[in-house]
Amino acid sequence: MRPAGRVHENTPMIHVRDLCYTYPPTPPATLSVLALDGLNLDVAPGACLAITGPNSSGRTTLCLALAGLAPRLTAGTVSGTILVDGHDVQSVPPGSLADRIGLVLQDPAGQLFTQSVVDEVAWGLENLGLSPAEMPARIDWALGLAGLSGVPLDQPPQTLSGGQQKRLALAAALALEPHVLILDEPSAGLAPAARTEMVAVLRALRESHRLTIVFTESDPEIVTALADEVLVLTAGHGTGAGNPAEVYASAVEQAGLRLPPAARFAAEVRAAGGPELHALTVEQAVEAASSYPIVVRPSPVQAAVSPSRPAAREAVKIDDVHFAYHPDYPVLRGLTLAIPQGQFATLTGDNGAGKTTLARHLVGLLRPQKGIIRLMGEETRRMSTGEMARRVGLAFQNPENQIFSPTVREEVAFGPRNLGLSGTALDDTVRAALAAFGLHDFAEHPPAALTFSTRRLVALAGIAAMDTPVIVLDEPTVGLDAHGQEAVLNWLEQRHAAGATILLITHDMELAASHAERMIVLLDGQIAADGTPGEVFGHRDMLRQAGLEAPFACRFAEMLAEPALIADLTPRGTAQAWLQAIAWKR
Amino acid sequence: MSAVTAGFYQPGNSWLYRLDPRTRLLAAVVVVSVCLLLPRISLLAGTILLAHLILLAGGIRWRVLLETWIRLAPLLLLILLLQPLFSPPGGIEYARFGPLRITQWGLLNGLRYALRLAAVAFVMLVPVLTTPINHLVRAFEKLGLPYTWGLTIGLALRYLGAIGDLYSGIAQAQQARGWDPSGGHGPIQRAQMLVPTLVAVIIATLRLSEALALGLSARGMTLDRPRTHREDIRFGWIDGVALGAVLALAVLIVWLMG
Repeated sequence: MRPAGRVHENTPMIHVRDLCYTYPPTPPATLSVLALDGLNLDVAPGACLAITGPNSSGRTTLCLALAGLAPRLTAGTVSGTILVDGHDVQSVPPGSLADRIGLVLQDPAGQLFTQSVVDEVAWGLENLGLSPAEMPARIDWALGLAGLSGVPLDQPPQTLSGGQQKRLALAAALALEPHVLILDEPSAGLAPAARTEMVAVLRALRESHRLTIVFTESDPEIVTALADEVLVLTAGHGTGAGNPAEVYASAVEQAGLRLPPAARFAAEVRAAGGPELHALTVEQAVEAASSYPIVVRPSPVQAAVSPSRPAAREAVKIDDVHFAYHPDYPVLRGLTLAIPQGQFATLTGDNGAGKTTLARHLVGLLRPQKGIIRLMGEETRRMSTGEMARRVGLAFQNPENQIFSPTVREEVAFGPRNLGLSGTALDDTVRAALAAFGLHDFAEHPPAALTFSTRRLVALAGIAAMDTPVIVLDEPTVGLDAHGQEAVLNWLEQRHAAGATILLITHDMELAASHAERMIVLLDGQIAADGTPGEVFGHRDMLRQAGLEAPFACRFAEMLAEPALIADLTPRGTAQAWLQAIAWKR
Repeated sequence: MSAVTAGFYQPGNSWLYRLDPRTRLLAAVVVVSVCLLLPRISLLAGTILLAHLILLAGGIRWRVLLETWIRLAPLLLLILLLQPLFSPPGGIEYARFGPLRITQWGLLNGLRYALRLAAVAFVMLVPVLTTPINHLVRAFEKLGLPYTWGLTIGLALRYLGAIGDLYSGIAQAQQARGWDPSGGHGPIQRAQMLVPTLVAVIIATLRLSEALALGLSARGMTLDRPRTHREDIRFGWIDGVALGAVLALAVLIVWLMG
């Protein structure tokens, strides 16, 4: 890769001053929206800056403005100075710095348009005017950097896993040999193993090529694993900056940020009057904890989470179900599973394991090609989707696929109205669902004009309003900040306490560990593990095979060689167990 | 498979794929022109059959053709039902509803229009199913169109299928929330449902196109440099023979039936 060009070492690679970005008002609102408000920023050559913050903080807008694409290819107006690699990006035609600034968008599907891996990477090189003779070496190099060397060159990008698609978009950007790489939420929607791969690829890039990287990220573990510096954006303002330790040591949770689990553990230890531990990663937590010898060997603890209520009737019964979208590629292969009424179960597994396909079977959008599904004891073969919707509420992975009404209120009312509710009962139901997700202020807004995270909450409120006995949520917390996550989890806990059966599809192992009674792991369309989270997280080989990772509590206990420290699988439980084990007294 | 599908292109490496994309495109244009010039029922039916044989011999799975028929079915049915009612009278009259009459000519007209649509669709499927987007764009470019025009046509074809997927995704979401399209709703209620669904599809399509514009610009689409091509298309002697044969057949048919 080329050196950092003519930019002097002391000159920042990215220099932003007084950056303001305004979006025009969307009816019924009459005021413009200030997405970025007087932002100042300097990024040194070769540095890695993470931009994090609560939802609607202006992160994506900042990425597009730095790349010189907003506002000219989007809506809005911009003021202030943005210099990247010595160029004023707002004064040159959009895209004219593509060989200096690489951009990887959050959803790779919007970026990958050709029909083979090699064509996808070659397309940018053709735009650069690179000679065809030089292309194969450059393509191999870019694919290698992105960790895609083993992927067949003629494979259609749309058949790659979610993680591979993101890395292909990265390879396509790297092939142009940019000086600056901008990534918008590089880990969003990826299974844990794919997230780890992405981190490894970006780390290797930094070490080998001294590339300047700016990325937006909600996952605190990714931020701490990659970034030298962190900028916290809140409603367009820079509300915090520093290295990850400084940023996560301040009161970031109030700003709607999630803390890394290791930092939560350390904070719990301190809050309980324990030693002054500080840690961002599990390795740092283990290193800090190692200074205190274990004096009371904890007795092995069974998973503290209670098993499902005994002898409960089965809410969902899946018996030897097979399904394939294409005869050569079966997705569900003889799946058998029973979920008792009132159970809170999580379904997890690698991207493409069959989780979403299974969820679609539970509302009748797909029908088993072989096998039987029963809901509340009743076979679904003769049930219409309308009848199934009375029993199961499904929130889709992508809220874009769920929202279509002109206002948020209408959107939330759609489901219960179809189920026969009207008049005051309907109004009350809609009001309660809007309140549960903090959406009152948006009731008359068009959902399409809202941010992605707010649209996700609208989609969930639409399911909440249906008040079904079984709730299936497909990755409901992706893209939500701590406040949004809390709203979703509070609602789920309430529904669970009221006797609803919950099936939560997630890649978030901390979430599965802390909330579920039961954890089901899918691998290639079959069940690879099924038990309490504590039992499932004990099968390390299976977790690796399924692209998953154990949560902080398991990794901490394992690295300390004290498996009995695993209490209730949360950082708080681990902190309490560890304080007892070291016999800490205030 | 992601929400955005691979478009219509079906990967393959048969004799049909090895022809130059210009051959497939120009041959399809010639055949479609003949179908539009001479809308004879026998010729249209024969063209549909020939297109099926070429596609199957070229390695396209019959399931793809069946799916095309299923997608076309509502439109073909509409033409078959409405065309006889509005055709000029002629031949035997089978029924009369006020000013509307169902006649032999009307029925034949309906059949002719439906077959013409199916013939055009299946003939155009030959280049569309067998040509990756970069070759299609290059073919347009070599036929004289500016690169950006060719890319626009290629992307439109590429994402046409994705728009269908967006529609079915939203329709599925409505069903998952209790909307039962076969559950006794009247035509007015169904039509009322159609409007917000189409609005949502349009919004989702606009989002998709904005993301695509950003993605393409970020990868140098607007760089002011002469483009190169990793793999160029080549018009060989076999292409000359194939295109010549199609042209000769077209001239013969026009001469015999015209």
